[in-house]
Amino acid sequence: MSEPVDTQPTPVETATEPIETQDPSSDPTPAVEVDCRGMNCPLPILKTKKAIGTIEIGQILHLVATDPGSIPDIAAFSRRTGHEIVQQREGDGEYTFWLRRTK
Amino acid sequence: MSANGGPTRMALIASQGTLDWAYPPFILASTGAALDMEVAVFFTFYGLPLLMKDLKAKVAPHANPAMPMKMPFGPEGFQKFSWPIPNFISGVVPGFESFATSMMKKTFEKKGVATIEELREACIESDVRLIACQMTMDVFGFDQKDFIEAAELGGAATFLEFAADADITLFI
Repeated sequence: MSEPVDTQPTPVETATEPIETQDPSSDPTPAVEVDCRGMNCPLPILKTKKAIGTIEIGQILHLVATDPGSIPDIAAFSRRTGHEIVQQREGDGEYTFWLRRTK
Repeated sequence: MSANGGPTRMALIASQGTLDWAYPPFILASTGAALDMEVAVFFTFYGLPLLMKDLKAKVAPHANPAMPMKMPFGPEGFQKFSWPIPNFISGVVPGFESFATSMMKKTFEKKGVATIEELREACIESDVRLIACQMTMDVFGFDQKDFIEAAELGGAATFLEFAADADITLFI
């Protein structure tokens, strides 16, 4: 088998780093709230996936979780699905994310 | 995006039917689907009963020295204590499996872990293909009417056709 000729340019990573802010006045207004407090892997991902399908493209999903694994897992969810983490916050044992539906 | 141009594809084989071994395929399949992957799970041998309407998966602590035996109630120190249960108890005492299963289910519930039923439902909702091994069904004498509607009957070729283009393939 011959090597496939790669004519496509390598896609450039355009996603920006999520803003970490403690100032609630700048929080985006969510179209849907997902409360995953007390839930363990993989429930925060499954609930987020289900809820993001219920909002319009461009709208914001607000997720609160207590599972520390949700930090790397939501980041991985965002990279795989393309839905953007616009903001996140951590404190009092809670991890809060604002995700924008992109497609 | 997969190497073949379509969505990333994951092919799993679920070959074990105890409660603890039921988790990995259902967790990976439901999460894979949530990450926009195309997922199929082939349920074969002892994994096949995981597709039955009535899920009876139990955990078997006997001859499983890696399994911590813990209590899901009482003070923190008590809950963290791992009980040394000798094999002559776990293997002989009637109902020990049911007891351990009930303890594990309580612990999982307290820790906010989904039940197998919930994860299986999430798989069905997200169009994960759940392939029930026809040969196992014949060999163990199962009746198709006892299986969930979402289960599709198939054999090794059905699975391998899907797995041939998979990016991730795991035998569990």
